[in-house]
Amino acid sequence: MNFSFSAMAATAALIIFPTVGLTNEIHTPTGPVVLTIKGNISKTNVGDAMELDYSMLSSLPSVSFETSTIWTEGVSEFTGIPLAALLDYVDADGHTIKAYAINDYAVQLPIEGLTESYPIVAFQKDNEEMTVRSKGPLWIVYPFDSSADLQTETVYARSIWQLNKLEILD
Amino acid sequence: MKITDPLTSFLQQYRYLFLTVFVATGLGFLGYLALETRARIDLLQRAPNDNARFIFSQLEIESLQLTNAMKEARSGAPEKLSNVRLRFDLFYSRVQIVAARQKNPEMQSTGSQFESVDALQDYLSDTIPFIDGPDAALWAALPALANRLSDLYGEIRKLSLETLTQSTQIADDRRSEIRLLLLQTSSVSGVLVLALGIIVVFLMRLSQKTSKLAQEAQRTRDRLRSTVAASLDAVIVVDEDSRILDYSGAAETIFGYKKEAVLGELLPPLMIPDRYHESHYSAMRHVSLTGQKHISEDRLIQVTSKRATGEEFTSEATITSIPSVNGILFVAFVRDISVRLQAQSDLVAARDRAVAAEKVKSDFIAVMSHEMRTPLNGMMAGLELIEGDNLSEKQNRYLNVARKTSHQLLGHVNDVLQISEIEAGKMRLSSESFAPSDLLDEIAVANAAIAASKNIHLSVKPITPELTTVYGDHRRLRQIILNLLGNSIKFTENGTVTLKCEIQDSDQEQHILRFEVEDTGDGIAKDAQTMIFEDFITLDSSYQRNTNGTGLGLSISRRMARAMGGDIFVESTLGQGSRFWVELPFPRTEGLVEAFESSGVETPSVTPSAAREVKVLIVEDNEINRMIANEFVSSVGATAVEAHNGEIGVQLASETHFDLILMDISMPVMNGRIATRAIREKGASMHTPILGLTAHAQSSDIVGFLEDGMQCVLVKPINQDHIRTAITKHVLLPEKGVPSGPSRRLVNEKTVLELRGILGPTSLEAMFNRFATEMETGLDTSRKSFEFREEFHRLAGSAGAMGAVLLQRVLADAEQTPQQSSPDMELLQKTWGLTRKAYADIGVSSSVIE
Repeated sequence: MNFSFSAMAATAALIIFPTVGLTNEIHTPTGPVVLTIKGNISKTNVGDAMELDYSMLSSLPSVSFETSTIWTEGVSEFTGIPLAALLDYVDADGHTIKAYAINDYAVQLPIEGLTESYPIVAFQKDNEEMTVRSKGPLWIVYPFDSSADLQTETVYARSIWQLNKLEILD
Repeated sequence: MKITDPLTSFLQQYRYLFLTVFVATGLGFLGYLALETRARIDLLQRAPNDNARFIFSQLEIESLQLTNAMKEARSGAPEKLSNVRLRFDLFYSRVQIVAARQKNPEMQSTGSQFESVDALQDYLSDTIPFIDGPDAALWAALPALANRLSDLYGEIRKLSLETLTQSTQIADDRRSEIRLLLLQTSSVSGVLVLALGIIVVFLMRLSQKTSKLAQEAQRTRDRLRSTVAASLDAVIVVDEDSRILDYSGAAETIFGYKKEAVLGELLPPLMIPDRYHESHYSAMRHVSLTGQKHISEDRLIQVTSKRATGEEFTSEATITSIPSVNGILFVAFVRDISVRLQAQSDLVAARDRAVAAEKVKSDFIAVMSHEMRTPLNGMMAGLELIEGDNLSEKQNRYLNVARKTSHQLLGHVNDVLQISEIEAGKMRLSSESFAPSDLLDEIAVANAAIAASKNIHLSVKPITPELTTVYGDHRRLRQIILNLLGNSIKFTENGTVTLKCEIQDSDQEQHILRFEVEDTGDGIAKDAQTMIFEDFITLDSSYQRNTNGTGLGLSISRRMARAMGGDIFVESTLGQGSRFWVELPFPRTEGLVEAFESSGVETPSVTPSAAREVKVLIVEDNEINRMIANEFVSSVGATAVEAHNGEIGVQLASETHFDLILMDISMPVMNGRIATRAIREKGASMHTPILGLTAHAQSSDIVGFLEDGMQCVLVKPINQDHIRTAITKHVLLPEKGVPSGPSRRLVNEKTVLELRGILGPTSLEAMFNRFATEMETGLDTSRKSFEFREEFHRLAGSAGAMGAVLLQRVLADAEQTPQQSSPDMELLQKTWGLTRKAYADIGVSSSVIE
């Protein structure tokens, strides 16, 4: 049970790049921001960060899978964007992701450990938006039931809910 | 093979099975434990409750955060209410997590925990309307909500602690379960490793043993192979169908086939003569069916085999059957013994030829000696007759030389004859009582003169304690002692010779007596002492020149001693003298041959002068009997006239007056009974006493004879006493009387002694020879002739005259053999043989040997 409560001080980027993408048009959030991505990223929309609202997030290519969790009852279907794809979207360059929760809980994930399909940054549970009361609005979820390897403490610790911020570190 | 108890052998037999089962069980158990451990570890790894501490601390923190947010919002600006709403939502989510966890049965939640969660849920549901409602209402409710949350903090705290304690307990339980599993696993692994170790050691030993056995087997095979290869016996292996499977080098030599040529071929056509094929196959079938090990009861059998050339030969074979995976195999060891058999039969033939030649030689010697004796007797009788005539001194000297040398020659001949008789096993021993001391005394007296002439002191040491009677062949003993004594006297000059008898040993049945002759003569060299008992050995050349020794004396003595169950010994020192002794067993009681009482008749003496005028007619067809009767009559001074049958007798009796007529009963031409009647009818001798002579007299016969006119009957053999008594009783002192009855003896010694007294030893010998010849030829012709009764009658007469009483009786009995029956020739021969020996015993021969 090695939970890392790292300091929340983020490494702020000093240079602001114009939000010009080659392939994707960069939008700015219109609704409430649900996820802020900071750190070593090439693609930004607000200052040195990429801020995403619910509609922006849900418009990205998403995946779904069913699994039970040790914190919820029964099997649920989770829908979200694979973390790896999200990092590609923001042109992340680094080895570690530091994920923050609304209550300032934070956990580090090595980028190396990510796969194409999981973990996902889930924004829907059983096709419904998740509220803060139901561990929303975002939740990093692994398909726990698919493999015993995903039923370890490390994985459970990385499954951070009430996610609202990602920071890409070297 | 070692014998083990059943349990041990059972264990040995199944130990592999036991070990295998044991190891398999162990491995199975270990596998089970591994799976179980894996499952437990997985369970542990999943650690669904390991974040309980976090969850509950988060719950505590969020409750405090919410309380703080509520208090801040109440005292501050109303916009702070959004923070209250966020904090409420977080707290809400934390409560839901705890509630979800509570519903997991793995968590083993208690009633009080459910109550606590229920209280939290109540709070949440009561607060939601305010949180989701207008700011004003929320703001107004904040103090109450904060207070209620503060009150719940104790509940949260309690829930948190309780759950943590419980989860620690569960974790501990799981750890100890795993610990136990690991312990079991390691124990089982340890045991298995140990078992595997034992198996490894065991297999190593087994492998060592196996390789050792294999080496040994290889060595044995090599040894066996070289043994078979080196064997001179042919070794042939065949299968049940008689096909040759193996064939040794020696077999190639013996049978003449090469190995390559015979392998796989049938054996019988190659190596067994055609006529034995059937018996070969039947023997093979028999062994195959019965499974017996050998083809015959005798392990070694003689069989006829055949070579490649077709030549047959005799061989010795051992055939053994050996069960093998390919059925029964037969191993035959065959040895060619044809050369051996040839050598054997050559040897036997050579031996037979040698024996036959030896027999021919000894027969020749015996016959020659025997044949020489008759003319020798004639010569000696002639020399006797010359004696007394007027001869010059020179002639007398020559006569003495002739007489002496003829006696020597006769001695030699008798020696040779005696040896061939002993060698042929024809010597019979008599058994008569005698006193050893008397025997020695007699011998000493007889040799006193000759001893004195050489200035020898001859003494007898009497036996102590005195033995009055022992039984045995004292004549042969006498001959032995005489021989020893003779030698001692020959080789002693001016010394002493001692005769001794001692009891060497005694038991209830017999005495072993030692008769010793000791002298102070020349002595015998050590190396010559063993030679002197050999045939024809004389040590002293002068001995040979001066005496009549053939060199057979000691060898005869030794043969006799051995034949009597004893032996003869010598001890001598050259120049100091010799001691010879003979050890012989003598029964303490009479033997089978009976010793008879003397049949001597006490008679008044007849003076020759008184008998001078007496004339006796002897009517007897048997020449010997006639001659003997004549001698007896003459010896008492009477005159004898002979008639050789009844008719002549009657004629003589009618012409001349006789004082006594001796009338044989059975005679040719006219028998004694008819003749007696005729004499009694008329003539000069019609009142003359007639004495019947018969070999057998039954009372009925005697009655008949007396009726015919005879005065009495004399049972043959007649002796001098009979004649003397008859003359005394019937002529000089006429009285009626019949002499004593027939003797029971084998040979009437008295008769023989009288004959010797009258005839002298030489003539007696001559007469005995004639008697013997007559007996031999008579018995021989009777065997082939139907006229045997007459022949037996004649022979019985002769036997009677010679004093052979038993022979006479047996011949007389044979004469009575019923018609159509054959006489018992074997009994006759036996009796004749006994009689012959009896004569030798009583001195007919011994007197001559002297």
